[in-house]
Amino acid sequence: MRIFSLALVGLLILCAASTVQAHRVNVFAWVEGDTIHVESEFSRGNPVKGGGVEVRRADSGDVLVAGQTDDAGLFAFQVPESALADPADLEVEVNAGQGHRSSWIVRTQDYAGSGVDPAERSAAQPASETLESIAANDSSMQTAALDAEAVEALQLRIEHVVEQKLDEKLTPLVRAVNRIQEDAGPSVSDIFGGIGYLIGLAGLVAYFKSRRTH
Amino acid sequence: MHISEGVLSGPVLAAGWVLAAGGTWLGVKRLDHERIMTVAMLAAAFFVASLIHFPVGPTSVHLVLSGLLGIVLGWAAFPAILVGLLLQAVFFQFGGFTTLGITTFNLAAPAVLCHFVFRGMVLGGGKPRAVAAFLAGAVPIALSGLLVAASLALTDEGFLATAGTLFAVHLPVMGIEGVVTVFAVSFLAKVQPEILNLPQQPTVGV
Repeated sequence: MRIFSLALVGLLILCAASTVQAHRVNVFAWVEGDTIHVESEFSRGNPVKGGGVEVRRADSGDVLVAGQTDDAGLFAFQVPESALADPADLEVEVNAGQGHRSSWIVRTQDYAGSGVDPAERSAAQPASETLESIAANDSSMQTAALDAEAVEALQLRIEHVVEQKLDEKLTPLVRAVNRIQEDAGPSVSDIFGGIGYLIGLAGLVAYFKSRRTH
Repeated sequence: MHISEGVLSGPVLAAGWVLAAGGTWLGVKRLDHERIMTVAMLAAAFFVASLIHFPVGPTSVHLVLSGLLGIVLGWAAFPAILVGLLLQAVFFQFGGFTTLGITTFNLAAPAVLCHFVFRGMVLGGGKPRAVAAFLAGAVPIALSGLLVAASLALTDEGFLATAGTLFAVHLPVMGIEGVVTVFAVSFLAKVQPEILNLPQQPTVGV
């Protein structure tokens, strides 16, 4: 029996060492183009399925978007128009039920440039036409006649494409950084720190009790 | 069983603090000099147990060990669980600070109740001890689940649905806690029997 008990204690310590995970809900959100992606999980690799998602303005508390996470713990929504018109930090809250709830703030600057407004898009459209006309008339040396308006449109288009490509490349990075920030989990020093506090507290209590008796 | 910050309403939180403070006061008042280290060791076990996880269905659960604390410590389970939860909130960000009171009560009250129900059988030894230890480990988990569901129901979530989910999710935990408590109690009975003896029991110990 004693060997069993010792084996069990050993097993528990092993478990504690190998599955150091946080029991709480983690929420991450990242912006890609004009879409905000939300991911939610209990502990590493354990998604929140069907958790209620609410997106609120941080300043007024108005609920802009509501939904549910899918089986992978993911949820995505378009940056709401009202937030584009009047930028505010967005609070993304995931309620996993049973009293587990957590939130992530999407800052104004994270999505401010990403929602390409329609004016910019229409401005970018003629740019490609301009490009074609340039290509067609290149031989006739009309390049010099490229007017200022077309140059500006071209610039906008390039900006837009670069932004899109950057988003594509940076998204995994942003996601990883967010995850590290949110999901560091308890470290060994946390665990031993806590146990140290408990022993210290016991010492304090013992000290005060012994002073009272003397 | 950890309830996050901002889920419960003010009155529920306040009631939790009052109940937890009462239990903690009783626990500290009745705490014998000799047993301070036992309380600290079991609080440490409780603190670390929350890191042992199993994924169950859509959620994830962890060991609690409140039953073991209850059967060994009695009322002193209150201060042990309160301090353990505080350290979990500080170091692991489990639960919240405002919900500390209600969570302490939800976990410690069933543990203390089972202490008084199963204590006699555990002291008896033999087969009844194993059965009582199993129940003392498993039953507090179910009762705590009910209390958590009740405190959530007082604010927003429906009681029956939450209680059902919590119970289903914690069934495996109940089994595991029962087995762990059986082993721990039989181990303590053999190696350190004085840890199991309460000072207010005049027939045993000193």
